[in-house]
Amino acid sequence: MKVLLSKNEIFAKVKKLIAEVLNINEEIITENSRIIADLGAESLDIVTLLMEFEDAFNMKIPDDEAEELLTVADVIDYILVKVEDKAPA
Amino acid sequence: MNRRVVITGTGIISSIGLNTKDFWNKCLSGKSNIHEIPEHWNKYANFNTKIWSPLPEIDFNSHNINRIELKKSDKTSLLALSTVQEALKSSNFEIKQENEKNNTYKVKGIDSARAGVYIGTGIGGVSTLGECFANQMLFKNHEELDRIIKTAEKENYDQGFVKTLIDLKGKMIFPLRFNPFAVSMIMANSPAANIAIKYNINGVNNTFCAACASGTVAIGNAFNSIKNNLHDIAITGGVEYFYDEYGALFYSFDVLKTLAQNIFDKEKANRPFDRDRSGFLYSEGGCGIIIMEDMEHALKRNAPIIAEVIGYAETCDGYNIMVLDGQNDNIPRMIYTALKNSGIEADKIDYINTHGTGTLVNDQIESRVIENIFGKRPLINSTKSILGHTLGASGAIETVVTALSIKNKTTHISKNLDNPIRDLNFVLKSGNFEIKYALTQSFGFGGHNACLVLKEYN
Repeated sequence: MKVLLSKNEIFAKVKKLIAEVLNINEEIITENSRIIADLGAESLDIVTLLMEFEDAFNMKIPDDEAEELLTVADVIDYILVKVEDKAPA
Repeated sequence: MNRRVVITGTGIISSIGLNTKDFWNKCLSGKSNIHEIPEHWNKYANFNTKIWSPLPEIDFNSHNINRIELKKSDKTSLLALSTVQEALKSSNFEIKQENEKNNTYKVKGIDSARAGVYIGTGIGGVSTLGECFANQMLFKNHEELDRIIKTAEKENYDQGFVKTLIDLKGKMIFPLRFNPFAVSMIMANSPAANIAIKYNINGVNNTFCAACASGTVAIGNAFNSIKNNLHDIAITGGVEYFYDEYGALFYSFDVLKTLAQNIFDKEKANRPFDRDRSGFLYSEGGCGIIIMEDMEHALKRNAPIIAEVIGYAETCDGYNIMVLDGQNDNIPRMIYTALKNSGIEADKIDYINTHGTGTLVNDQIESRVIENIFGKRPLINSTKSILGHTLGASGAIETVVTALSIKNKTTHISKNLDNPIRDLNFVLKSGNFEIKYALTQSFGFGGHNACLVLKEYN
């Protein structure tokens, strides 16, 4: 049986990590938030966030794929696919 | 005019105590922390020595360090930052968070442009370097081996062969992720830089690399900068962290046969200046930090003054990369220069905190030089006889011991000294001692010799 994280669970976890790394209130983070333009992440924040996402969801995010993760929704969708790929059948 | 320089705060993290008070109490009671080396290290090498002194678990979160900083910092920086926090607090500084996101602090009462950071470390972020190499070398090979094992199991290969592959896979220890902050973790200047970042210190920021003399050299340079009016205050000391999952760092000393052997029971193996010494007790790491200050600056803010630093000198043997030079006068010249800088004669020195590693050559030369210059009068001990050797941190930790010995008019024993190699005034029982002037010295691989002269504050 597949045990997957729901989209809402992933969003909640991602939101918490972004809020912690950027030191911002979770409430201002929406799925449409652009991580750099709207939430104010700087280049080293992005490195930290990628490290946090990798650790939290036990996955590896290659550099070329990381460049595509511009919004919170991009991150959630990316993790959804990755988590599904890894889940036992 | 040269200014007077005082010590107003201390911090210690060590295998025998995670703050100055615990450390000092352990020193006075002569309690070491000696354990067998981690069992799994024996899979990778045949060690001559089987004992070491590991650090207890440290709660870094209680030292103004958050979860993310823990992942982005080498242990040397974490040890240094934690120890600095204790030192600043003990020096009566109020620390206030200034930037919540970066988790940085402001030290009230410090003019940040007139404050410096002087830190010694022998090898810096070598522990992180080892982890990075392990990840780079093993991550893909581990995956490949995993595939081979699955195939072998599926196709009913010989069970002994499969077990060998599984054992091999089990020996591959590595972090699952290559740390993206590796560069800033490995670099030796990281602890000093992180101290400046964490506490907003904008004066000279220097890292001193002189092997086992690193801490003493750092403190000596901080002393000179305050004496010569470059700074009013300095955060100074030494830090080292020497653990890796394979025991390779331990083995690098073990293979040279420089480590204390289990010739007696493990509590008796470490015995500097004893006839039956066999090397030093390897410590996993540690940090010693001193808040050093212009005396007027300290008095103005009613800081607690522990002791005064009155002299410093360093020389280099220019002789051998690992062996102390016992023939030439570079160590005596260092001592005489430090005494001259201090404005005192050798007969004023009441106590000498030795380098005292417990290695054959070191103790022989050091004890001979001490007798030649100071005779048999001064109290002599080796902090390493209790703590073991923290390499680049040792000189700083021993400077703290020297300052506390002066302030508290007592000092610790030189442990396991049953048959001294020389008839000196070794401390065999802790008690009340009148210590007005003291000297602490360190010698590092590379021929680095450094010593500080401290005085009772009055």
